[in-house]
Amino acid sequence: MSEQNQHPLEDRLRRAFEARTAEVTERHLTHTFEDVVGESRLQRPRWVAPLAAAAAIAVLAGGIGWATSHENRPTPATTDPPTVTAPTSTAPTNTLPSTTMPPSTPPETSTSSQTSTPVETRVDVSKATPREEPRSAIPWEEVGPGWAYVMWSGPDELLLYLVNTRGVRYRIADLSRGTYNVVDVAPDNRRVLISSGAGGGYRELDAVTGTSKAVDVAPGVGSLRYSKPNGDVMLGERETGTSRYEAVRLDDDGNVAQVFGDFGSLPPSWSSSPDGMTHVVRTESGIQLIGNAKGTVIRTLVLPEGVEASSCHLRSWWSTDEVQAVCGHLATSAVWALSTSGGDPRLLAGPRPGGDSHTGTVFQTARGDLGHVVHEPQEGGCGRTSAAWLNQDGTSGARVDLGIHGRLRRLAVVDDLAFTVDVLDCDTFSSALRVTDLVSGETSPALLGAGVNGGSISGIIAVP
Amino acid sequence: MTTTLPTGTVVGALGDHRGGKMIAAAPAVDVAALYAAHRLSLVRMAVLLVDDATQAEDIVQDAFVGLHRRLDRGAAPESVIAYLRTSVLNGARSGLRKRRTVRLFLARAHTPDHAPSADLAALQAETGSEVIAAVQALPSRMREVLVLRFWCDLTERQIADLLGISTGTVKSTASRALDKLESTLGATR
Repeated sequence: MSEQNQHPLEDRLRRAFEARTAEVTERHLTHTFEDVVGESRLQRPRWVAPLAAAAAIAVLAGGIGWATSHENRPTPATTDPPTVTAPTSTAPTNTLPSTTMPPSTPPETSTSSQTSTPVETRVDVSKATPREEPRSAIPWEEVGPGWAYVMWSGPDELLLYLVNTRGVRYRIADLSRGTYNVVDVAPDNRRVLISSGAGGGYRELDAVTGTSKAVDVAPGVGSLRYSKPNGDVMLGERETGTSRYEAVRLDDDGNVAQVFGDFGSLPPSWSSSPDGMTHVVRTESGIQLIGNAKGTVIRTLVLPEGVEASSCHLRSWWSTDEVQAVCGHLATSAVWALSTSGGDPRLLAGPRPGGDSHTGTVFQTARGDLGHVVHEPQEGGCGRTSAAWLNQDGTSGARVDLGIHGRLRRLAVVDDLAFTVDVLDCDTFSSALRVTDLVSGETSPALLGAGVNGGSISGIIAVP
Repeated sequence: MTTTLPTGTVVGALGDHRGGKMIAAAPAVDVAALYAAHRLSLVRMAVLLVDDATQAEDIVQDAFVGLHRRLDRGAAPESVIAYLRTSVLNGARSGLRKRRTVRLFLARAHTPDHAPSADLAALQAETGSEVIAAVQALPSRMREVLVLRFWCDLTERQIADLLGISTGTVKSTASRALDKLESTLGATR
């Protein structure tokens, strides 16, 4: 090759590279910077991305138990709640407790005002026995918390399974030769949204029949998720310029029916209320409560003093009028309940001792308890990974060993169950699915992947 | 995190990833801004190396994790973007090596016991272009040189620095790679 004399193949090669890379756009990327920082602090555990999947996957953010208990809400109204002038007063500073709280056991009562339905029939996960059964054998009336859709890949296969805590895996669909991953599960638990990581196309799988259909999406729209409470329409994000996005609701044809939030130059971060009637959206003008029907800004949420909206990452709804957010960078990050009714924010967990970030580590159980993942590196090995209850002063309470043999790659928490995907030996692509009962502390043997049928697990969504 | 790039940081001075500018890092490295500015182009570079978007994203994430750790230790690399590119190249090599090993093992160990489900033919239609396929079939070093030269638009000197080889080796590797591609593509016409 010479920089002066062009090879006849160069132009063709450049065009091919351009075409291939054009398939990957910002909206196809799932990891956020917060994931990176969280991973760095946690010795590289990986998290399912909040942007593409948080609301769908129940990853870390939790809130699924709450959402489940509110499934039968009315469909969104055609008008938004009245607009309220943004607050002008400064929120009082939420000070941390002056004394360190003693390590706690899992609280018996909820620390939030939300209600949820714990798993009624508990399964001893340690006795799970992995086995495969056909899709036709799925007991659909039992599918709920304790089940998860899992994308598994072998040397020549890409399969979507529905797995339960008893270890039974039901093969839902064969997606071989595609690069699809699981994005969201509809509130009816029977429809699964999958997307191509590279091409950007979406399809909806009917898990009962194994059939699928294309999901029409207007150009420039991605990061789809099902609407709440029924999953009757799709919500997503539309690219409006270079690295600029807005939140949108689509009609049945995939066209934008309503814009309900402009992220501006900030990475998209938003969370829908369980009844689907409002959304909390991080904008350049602050964190705003916006109506679903007409996209009207109802109010700007009061933030903790000194906290900028751009440093807040929105998570699930914490109570009927509060949304959970992690605000602040690295050592200053804290977990807050931001009021959607004009009240002051409440501190849920202060900065972590030692400067570790809350970002990418916090989850919420069905009881409304906050937990987080703790990784303790060990000399010459991968270390020990635990789930720990999170005290308000940011310290860790009682810990539950997640039984991770390598490094944690995926985590999905629903009710009091934590589905984990770990990568063996810290540095391979072979991985295994397990589930830990956060109350009993028991962990299952491998349910899928290494030790069962080999291969690798690339995606997981816990059924709400 | 904000994606508004602060002036005076290394990100502001780096320009577009594909511009090939390599300058020493300023003392204050805004990793968040760096991530916002360069993640996509690095993922695209990784996609060309491993032909798997998910794996490419993981590789780039690992690169930023490495950078973050390094900065935590107070050891800022001389050129941040060069550090990230090198990390992506290393991650791609490692990933491809492991992928081959795992596939070889699984091909022997795993025998599917189910027929594919019906009605998903539409999901199985996508194949890469013949050029990309031919690039993927090249040895790693050749593929890296082509991607760095014809997608990242780096000079031979920059590629040599990045890969730790001489400019002469870059030149000959690229030439052989193009000849090999031409031969492969010619044979498929």
